[in-house]
Amino acid sequence: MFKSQKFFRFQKKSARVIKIMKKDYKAYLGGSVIMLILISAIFAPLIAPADPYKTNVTKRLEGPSLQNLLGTDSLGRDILSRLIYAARPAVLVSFGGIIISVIIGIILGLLAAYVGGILESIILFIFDVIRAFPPIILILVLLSIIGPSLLSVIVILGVTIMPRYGRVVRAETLSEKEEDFVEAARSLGADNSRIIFKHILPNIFASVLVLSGMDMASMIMWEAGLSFLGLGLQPPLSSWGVMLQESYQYIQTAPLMILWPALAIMLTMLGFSTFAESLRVALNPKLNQEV
Amino acid sequence: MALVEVKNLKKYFVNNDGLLYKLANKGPIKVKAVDDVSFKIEKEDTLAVVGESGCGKTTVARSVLRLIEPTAGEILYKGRSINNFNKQELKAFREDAQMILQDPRSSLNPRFIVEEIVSEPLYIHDQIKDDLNLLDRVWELLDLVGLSKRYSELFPHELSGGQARRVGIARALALQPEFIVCDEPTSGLDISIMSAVLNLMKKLQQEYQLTYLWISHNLHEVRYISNKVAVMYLGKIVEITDTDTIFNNSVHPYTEALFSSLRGINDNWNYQEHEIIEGEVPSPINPPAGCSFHPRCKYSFDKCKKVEPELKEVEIGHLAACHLYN
Repeated sequence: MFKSQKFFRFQKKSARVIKIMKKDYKAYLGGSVIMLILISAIFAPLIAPADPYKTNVTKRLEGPSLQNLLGTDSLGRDILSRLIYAARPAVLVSFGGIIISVIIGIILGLLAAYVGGILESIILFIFDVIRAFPPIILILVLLSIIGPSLLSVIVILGVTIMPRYGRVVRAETLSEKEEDFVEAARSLGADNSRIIFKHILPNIFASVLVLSGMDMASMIMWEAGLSFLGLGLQPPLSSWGVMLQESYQYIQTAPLMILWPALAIMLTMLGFSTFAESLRVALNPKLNQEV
Repeated sequence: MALVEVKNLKKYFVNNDGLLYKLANKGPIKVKAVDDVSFKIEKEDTLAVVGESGCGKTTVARSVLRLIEPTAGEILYKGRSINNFNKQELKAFREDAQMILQDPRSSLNPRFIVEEIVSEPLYIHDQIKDDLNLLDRVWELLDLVGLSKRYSELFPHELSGGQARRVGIARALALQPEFIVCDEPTSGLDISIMSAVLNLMKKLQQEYQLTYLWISHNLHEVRYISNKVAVMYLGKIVEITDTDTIFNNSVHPYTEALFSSLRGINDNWNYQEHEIIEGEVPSPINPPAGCSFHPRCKYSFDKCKKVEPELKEVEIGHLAACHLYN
């Protein structure tokens, strides 16, 4: 089954991408951050030193100590454990939201650019309607209709951000489909699906990748904002955004408390975008002359 | 029966956008890129289409392969109109007729390696029975165009212009076509590589009985490769005949002017004074009345400004559109 030239070629090409990424410090940096977050999300109960929900009012707002490595929050809960558990919603929201918006965005963008006509006008109209509302209002309205839950937050965030991808995909497809090699493929008799999947998508994927690396972090921030309004995660569940909101009231008495969730969000964003950048470079044969 | 026959091909690019334009009620802008062109290509012939930039050569080439739909007119391939082909017939036609595009490098997908580029037509037309023998077929095709095996793993940007051109030719040959449209296949190559490519194309033509439609503005190249020449001016064919006749006994003033530039340099490398056509090519949106060449023609007289000349036989197998010879 796997003994085909197609498979060998795929193997060779992916070996090449891995070889390039192995030389790139950005790939290590981004990759290790992503691994760290994924591991703490998956194995949270095994890693966390204490119960993240156990309150202890006598030990509230303490600084770092041997017992609580990153200190305790306003209810005396262990910040490190909460941070580790909160990686779960962070991963779900950022990955889920991005995947939803990328998939819908690519489909609608390709349809708009490729079919054109009335369909294109309708799709662009949908994009414009979504973008015309301030995102927070749109999200609030949708959430109050559907009801707050992790899944609805993911879906709604994905749909709200989607027009960014749709527009980028449409614009790139419009320029890419006029390229000579697309015309060459058409003159060879290639059908639309071959042209789209073999010629256009691989060439526009870089822009989508870079954009999604940046949007990962904004997803986490949106989730934080929604949780603050009581529309995101419901207590006692915790997320980095919720922790950020909780701790800013105590910024003068316990300034370190706000640092940890902020660091976690920053690190995630940095990790995703550096990894996306490294992948983008490795996937583009023109940017790696000497391999 | 001619292999390819083009009958009264017209392609107008229409632009009627713009609110102000509609308000002015001027009607749509029509660019007459190709205006009533007819010719035939016999099997194993090479018809060269020459002319200045913007005279509609490439539009003819793309219409002949139905990459764009003509405004009017008919294109017959082996006696059947390609504009009425259904999906299967069109796919069969795409197998038979290939194109070599103008720019050697941008006609290759930058993310494909040469192996993928050359084997793509085989995948499209389901000609791969055993995928494992694919590389042999690719190497065979590369060998045909004078490239060694190692090129099969390179990306287009790693190739020189001449090598990229050869890859494009190998891709066009992969399906063993009968008819190839070559849209300025030597543009952007330097002289030595140009001649290598020309020799290759000629060799391939003899070996595989290929028929070429050769778009060019390089007259030296045309003399070498083609046996028939059509001269285009502003979307129309002004003269069409054998290569020998057009180089020695051309009748149309535009052809004369075009080819005199060649003669000027040819005589023992001494640059001689030769006729230069004055003025510029008129806009195809608003072509001059009568003969479209009359504003630049030194022989023009009253009739030229009013009546459009038709393409008429001057002698057997030699057609020209000029009032001087009617």
